[in-house]
Amino acid sequence: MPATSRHPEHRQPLLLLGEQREEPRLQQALERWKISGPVGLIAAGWEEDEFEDEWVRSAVQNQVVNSQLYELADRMFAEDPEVLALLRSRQDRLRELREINQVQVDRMCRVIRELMRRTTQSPAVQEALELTARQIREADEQHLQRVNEVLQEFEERIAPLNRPAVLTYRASVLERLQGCETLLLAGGHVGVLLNRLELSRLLTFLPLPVIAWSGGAMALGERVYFFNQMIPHATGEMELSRRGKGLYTQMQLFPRADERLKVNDRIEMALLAQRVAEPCLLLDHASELEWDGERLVNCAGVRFLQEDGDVVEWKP
Amino acid sequence: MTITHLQLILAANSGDAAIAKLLQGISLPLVQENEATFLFEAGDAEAVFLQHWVFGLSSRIPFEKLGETSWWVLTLAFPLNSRIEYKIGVRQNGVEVWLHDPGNPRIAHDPFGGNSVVQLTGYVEPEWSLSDPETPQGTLETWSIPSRALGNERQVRVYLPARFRPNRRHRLLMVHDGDDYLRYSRLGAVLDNLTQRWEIPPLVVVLLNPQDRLREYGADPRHAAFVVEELLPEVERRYPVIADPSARCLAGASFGGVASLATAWYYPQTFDMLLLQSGSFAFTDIGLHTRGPVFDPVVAFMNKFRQSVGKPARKIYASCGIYESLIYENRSLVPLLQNAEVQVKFEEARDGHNWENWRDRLRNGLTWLFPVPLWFYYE
Repeated sequence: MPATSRHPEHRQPLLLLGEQREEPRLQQALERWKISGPVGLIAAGWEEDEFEDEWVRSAVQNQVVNSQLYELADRMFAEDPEVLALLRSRQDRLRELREINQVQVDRMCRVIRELMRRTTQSPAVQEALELTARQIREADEQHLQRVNEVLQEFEERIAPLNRPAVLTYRASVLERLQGCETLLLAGGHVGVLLNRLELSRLLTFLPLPVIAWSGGAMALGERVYFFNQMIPHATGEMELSRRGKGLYTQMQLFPRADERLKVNDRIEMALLAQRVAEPCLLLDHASELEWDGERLVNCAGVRFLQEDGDVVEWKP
Repeated sequence: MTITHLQLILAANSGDAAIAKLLQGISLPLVQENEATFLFEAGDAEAVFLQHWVFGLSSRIPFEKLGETSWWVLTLAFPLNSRIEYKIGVRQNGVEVWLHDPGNPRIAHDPFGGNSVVQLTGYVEPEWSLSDPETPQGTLETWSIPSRALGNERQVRVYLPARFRPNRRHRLLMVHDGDDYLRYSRLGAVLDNLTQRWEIPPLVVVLLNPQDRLREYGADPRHAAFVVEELLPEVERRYPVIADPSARCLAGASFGGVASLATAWYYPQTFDMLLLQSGSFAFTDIGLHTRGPVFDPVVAFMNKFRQSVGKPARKIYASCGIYESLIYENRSLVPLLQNAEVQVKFEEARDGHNWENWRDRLRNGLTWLFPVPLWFYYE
């Protein structure tokens, strides 16, 4: 079973859900935690549509306070354009790192596919498969290290404690969410969501319980992978973006799996499972994972991707 | 309702009225699987023929009189999924005219007025190319720029997506024959729909329009200089676009494809992406070409290009109809680019050299070249 979250200071309980927009189950989630007071909504992943939160408000009985995490960041950028310039330059470097990782991983994934398609899976083939999968994981780990260096350098360059605009941003967000009993973390653009969470340090300064769904749930894990095998002429492999918030560990979540993954293609699924190494969990609409701050305590409606590519119900 | 050949013959035996009754409310031509039966009423015509642009078939295929009626008939077999544009030619009193098929409401428009269209079984007009009133629409801006390279002023139209935000940086698509793409390939609706579905990022799209098309787009270095040295800096000054080759794509069809490839070749490392549709990539391995003088500069360029491909772009999406005379030239481009380590996606369609063929390939091309948004969005 999972050990502890990566950040010892983070012990907030989490409820991780599949997509919610179609048939929201947020009210049941709040009732389970007996939350009746105001809840803070983080919808920065919706970017400019951050305020289109009517469906969330009508899905829960609680007062919903929109954190305005995205909008307030835009104001910060306007006040201190250097932050935006540094952020863009950082993003350019991260994009380059992602491309390099893609080039490395693409080739190794092709090797694995070719080996898996062989009719005879001899010990030599098995050995080659394991070796290549290990090389992919090593390439991913190196990629994450480089990404971390870039993120660290950005942090040092913006020196947030010496920037009034950043401090105002953080204070404004916290002020808006004062009195909230829990946070609702929506999906959307996971990269943007993570950027705003990091710029605001919201989850550190306000370690409330979090109900996160879809991309929001992805952002809270240890690693964020981007994936979609259904785009016409999908190119490239699943993409390892960066570390997430690390509030839960030892599982990788894949929301909307049926729309985004070839779940019936055993080779593709086996490749994915072997690359990730941690349990790959498919987060469907009715999926629920409850994390008490240190470990998983409840799990319902979650499918698990086995190393051989089979998808089965998960019984941790 | 499907009308069989037997029904048609039986009706023909009963005269014009029976045929008119049989065809009432029916769109022509009649399509059954891979067969299309064309019918045209022209009792006193001297000849009726199908005028089409399917390379490999005789371009004028004669109809036959349908019994003693005033109808003319022609049945042809095409591969399934085909989409064929045609006109009906009629010769009467020694004068020949080409008409849209009056029994066929399906017209594909183009700068020359348009053609009737027959869609064989399996072809489906893409729903993502249809304008949807629920989908937020992009806006068009028009401005002018003086060009020293071309020696006059050029009007430029720019499509800004509904999700355009001045404080964000956007990827850039520059499209040759941009207004024709809007009119005849529904580029606006395609961009609106794909953007709304997050299949492509919100693109800033510059629509180029030539004044002397065949000269400017025929690999003319002055056109390339205009695009790269004059227009691109102005676009980057006016709009928040990512000033990096990896975020730029140049697109065009036919001679617009040549203009795109030539511009990228004259200015390497300016555009990482090219979208080339039915490019007029005529070349000669030896001897002279037979496509007429307008192709002279194109062939000269292509021969030079084929000698030294270089790296005009990192990713190239190319498409061509298999009923085009240019299919050989387009197919020939693929190994050349692959050998130069350009990432190439080449698609063939059972279609001809026309705007709807180019429209139908836009989704595959754009989503392949700009695969970003769906990676990032998890709603």
